[in-house]
Formats: sequence, structure tokens, C-alpha cells
Amino acid sequence: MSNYQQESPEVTARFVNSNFVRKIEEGRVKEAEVESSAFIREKLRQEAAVREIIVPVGISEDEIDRDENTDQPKKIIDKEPDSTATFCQFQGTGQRTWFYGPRYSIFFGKVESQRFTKSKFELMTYTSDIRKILSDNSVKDMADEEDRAFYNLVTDIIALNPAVQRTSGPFQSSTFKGSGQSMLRRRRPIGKMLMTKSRFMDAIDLPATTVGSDVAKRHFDEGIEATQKLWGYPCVTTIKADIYDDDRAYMFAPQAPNNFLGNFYLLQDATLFIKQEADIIEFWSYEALGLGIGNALSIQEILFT
Amino acid sequence: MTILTSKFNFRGRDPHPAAKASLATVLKVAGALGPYSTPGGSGTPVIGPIFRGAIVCMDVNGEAILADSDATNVAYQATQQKTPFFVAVDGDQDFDGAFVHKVTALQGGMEILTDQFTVDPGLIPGAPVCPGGNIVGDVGMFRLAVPTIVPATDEQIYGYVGSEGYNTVTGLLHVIIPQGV
Repeated sequence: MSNYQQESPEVTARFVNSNFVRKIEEGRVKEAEVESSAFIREKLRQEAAVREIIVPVGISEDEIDRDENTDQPKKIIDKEPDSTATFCQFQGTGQRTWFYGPRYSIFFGKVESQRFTKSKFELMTYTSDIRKILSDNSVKDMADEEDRAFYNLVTDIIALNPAVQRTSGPFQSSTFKGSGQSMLRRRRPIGKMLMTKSRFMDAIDLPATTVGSDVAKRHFDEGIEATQKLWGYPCVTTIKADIYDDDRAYMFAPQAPNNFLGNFYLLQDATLFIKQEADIIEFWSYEALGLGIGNALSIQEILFT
Repeated sequence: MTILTSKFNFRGRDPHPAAKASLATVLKVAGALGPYSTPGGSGTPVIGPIFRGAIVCMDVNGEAILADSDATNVAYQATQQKTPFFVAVDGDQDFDGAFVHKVTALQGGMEILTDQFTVDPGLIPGAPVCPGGNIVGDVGMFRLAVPTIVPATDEQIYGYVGSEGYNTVTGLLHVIIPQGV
């Protein structure tokens, strides 16, 4: 349940805008920032597909790791050490090993929207909600940057090991089954799938003979918007076919209860900053995040042919 | 009157707080490796080729590469077109650069102290400097711009040794990079 208060029909966009401008005029910038930051964070959560695959976790100053060569933050993550067990006779013993726990580091970067500059006099002419303009122009761009970074990471991982981590085939049960089996053979549980909405629409073509008449009828009557899963696997869909390849879907291991996948840390969640000098109002959004996949084998790509 | 249908707009960034006269831009790093681009990757981001304070220029894709006078001089002599040089502030060898694979790059209009240069007795105040090159092995670094080092008559100067010159104690070179060199 979002804390963001929805605009009621009685409150016009012009009123919201004048409120926004008035708060800035009266020096209540902080209030305007907090109100709009909450809105932006909620929108960002909906817009970035990566946030549905790897849920971002806020990280505080005392949780980051330092480095003697730089003043930039990082976070070192422990991976599970490799281990084995063995049957042996009662007088035998297990193997001795000196265990080493591999680690990997999450580095951080900043995503920042464009810095919007406008005269307050020009701003007064806007009849649409300024906060919507913010979400349309800055939040989507920021979410795109998150998704682009995630997609680049995922494609790098698959490109290194395509023979094992890629399953090719048409949009039908056998392809998804093959992909899931590949994950399971590597002892990776299956969490969520990710694909574009346009590719997800192929589910409409799944015949009643394979998905049952109830599902086929529902797809015919209501489309696929109500469909959240394919063969039991939760599906994250995105409209960003310009970022995520329309011909590919991905299966990811779950992040909980045991983290089989990776980490997404927020040094600071999306925040709106507003500044006014005389009649010029500037506002922009920024966030600081780190994203990494610690377990490269926890991803399987489906290449649709 | 502001015509809303016009496509004209500004495209740029606020200046770097320490180099306000300099044009600031952000460039993707050409050929940057992801954390799993090579076998054995652990997931930790991999550092790239651009070091802090390096002179960079754009390749044909608009991505940052270390500036190489040997290459840019040949291009300049062929086309008489200068190559815009920039100084990469943090490079992509630091954590954030290695993660985002982009570098903040500043063009002319700044003074810097740098340890990224080839020592030369000719580096006295007012002497011209240019990017290094592959032949000497100082790509992306500053060096004295003299035709005897790079056998080219039309070497592209990027800046000048500043009034503090080369400090042999600190090992730093003061460089002034005016706008529009």
C-alpha cells in the first residue's frame, strides 16, 4: 500500500501546481521535496523491472566497506564456500580442507535525471500535474538507466556461457520447461521470469489443448493483463523493448529466502532536489545505487526462435 | 516568446565545481568490460583503461578512448580537423567509473596539477603540451609538444605548462588548458 496520497477529483492539477510553486515561494522547499520524492520512489518501483527481480535494499553509512586507495564506497559480499561430504567407513574420516569463502564487491554509481530549469512564470501556465511531468521525464529515464545496467550485466553473463545458460525454442511449454530444467540441473531454484510485454502477448496464442480451456477463454475475454504467471513461474513484464530484447526472456533464481542471485543496494533512494533563485526554479532527481550478480549461474536465457 | 513546437534546447551539464569554466561532459568508455565479460569473473566490476587525469578523446561512436597523439596527428594532417581532447576526472579505474563505465570529462578552461605526464626538461612554464602516444608508450598522458618526439609538423597542442611548472619535489606538473585550444 503506497503512502502517496492520490489526487482527488476535486483537486485540480492547477491547484497542485500552484501549491507546489507556493511552497517553494514560501521557502518550504523541503516539504515540496519530501512530498515529491515519495511520489518518485513509488513510480520508480513500478517502472524499473530490475527492482522486481532484485529488490533494492537501503544501505547505511556504517554498512559500507572502505578501501585504502579511494574514498568511494563499496560493499563486499561473501559467497558460500565450496564444500563436499563423503561416505566412509566407521574408522575413516572426511576430507580435510582449508576453506576459502569467495567474495565479490558491489560498487556504487549515481543515476541523475536531467536538471530541469524553468521560470516560475512559465510554470504557472501548466495545467497538468507537475509531479506527473517529473515522473514522466525523470523517473522513467532513471528507471531505464537501472534496467539498462541490469540488462548489460545479464547479457554479459549469458554471453560467457551460452551453451549452458541459453535455451532456444518457440514460445511454448517445452522451451520454458527446458530452461527450468537447465536451472535445476545446476541446483538453482527458479524464482521469476522476465520478458517484454510484447513477447508476453504470445501467451494469447497458447492453445486450449495445452493450457486448458479456462485459461484460453480468459485470455480471449480479458487479454493477458490479468495473467501473472506462466506455468507457475511469476512473470515480470516490461514495456521496454528498446532495452530488453524482445526475442529473449530470462529465468532468475529467487532472491529470498536464500540469496541465489545478487544484490541491489541503495546508498540513497531517488530524491528530488528543488532550488529557486529569484524567478528560476530548478529541480532534478538523483539516487545512488550499486548492483551486482554474485551467482552467475543463477540466470537462464530463453532465446525465442 | 517560447515556441513549444521548436526542437531547440540545451544539451549540457553544470560545470564541475572545481573547474567552472570548463565544458563538462560524460562519455561512455569504449570497450569497457563487464564483471562477467571474461571467464572467471566474480561479479566484481572490472576496471577499465582510463586512469584518473588521463587525456581522452572520442572514437567514432562518441565513446572515450585514451588520446594518442600518434593517431590524432595523422588524422589531423589528413583532414585538418582537430580532435577535441578532454581530461577524465576520475577515470574508470575507480569504483564508480568501473561500475558505470562512464567518465566525467572536462574540456578546456581549467588548471590542473597532474602526475600523469612524461618528464622532460623542456616542461617549463609556457611550454606547449599534447597527449602522449603509442610510440613512446605514454598514451593519455601529458607530454611536451615538440616535433622531435612525435614526428609531425602539425601536432595538436592541448595546453601549456602553467606558472608553477614541474615541481620535482612533489612530482606534479601544473598545466593550464585554455578554452578552445
